[in-house]
Amino acid sequence: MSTLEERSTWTVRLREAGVRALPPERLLPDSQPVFVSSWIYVFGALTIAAFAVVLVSGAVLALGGVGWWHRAATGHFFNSIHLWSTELFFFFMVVHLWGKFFMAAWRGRRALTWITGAVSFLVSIATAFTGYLSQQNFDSEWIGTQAKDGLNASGVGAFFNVLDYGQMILWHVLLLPLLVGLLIAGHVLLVRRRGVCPPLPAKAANDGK
Amino acid sequence: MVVSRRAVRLPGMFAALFNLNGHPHYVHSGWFLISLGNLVVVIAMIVVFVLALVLPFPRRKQP
Repeated sequence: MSTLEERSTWTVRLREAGVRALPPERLLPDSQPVFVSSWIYVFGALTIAAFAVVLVSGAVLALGGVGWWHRAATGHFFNSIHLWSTELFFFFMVVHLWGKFFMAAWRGRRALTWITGAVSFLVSIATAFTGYLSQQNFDSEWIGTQAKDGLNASGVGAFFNVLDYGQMILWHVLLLPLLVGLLIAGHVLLVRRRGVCPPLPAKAANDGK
Repeated sequence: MVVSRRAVRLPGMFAALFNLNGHPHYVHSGWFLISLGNLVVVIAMIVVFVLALVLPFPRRKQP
């Protein structure tokens, strides 16, 4: 095949576009700017670490099946790991969000990075919500019956029925985690592409005089 | 529901520190209403946020 024909295939065009957008040294850098040496920059990575624990503990719960966390001590243990890793996931994510908000981290063509982060936060709330609906206890019953009126009034009840356990657990274990994972992956790739947002410039003592 | 002794032991140990079976506690003042557990988490997040801003980050010593 000639070089011209090779360049006309979609796989080659996709590969070249990918390398142009994210060269290997930018995708997996070996150094970061000096301002990244701050604890406030750690919470994004901590959020991803907590998300990994959420996914692994959720996968173990899926192996045991629904109700396993009520019947067996091991199931109860992994249910607790799943809950507390979710708590930490939101804890770290909120601190990360505060840090980036007060840093105005959408500066320098980083609007899409900010938007994917904010949307992943909102979708994570929906994911946690369907998790609370999947507990199979009085708490989930209470949450479901309280939520149905508001959601039905908004019009989404036709395809998102919080009283349908089967539908809620499938949203919880497949659709929403997949969406959160894709958003986080896109967010990280955008951070790699645009670089970490620098701190706001310090004002000189005689500014405005 | 049958629960093994092993399953009860660990929660029982923590129950000595935090009673999770009692009535929930709320902080209520006028329009402001929040459960004590949520308030503790919000305060902890603010504390961690401030610490992340002020605590020095360990750096490698330059050769």
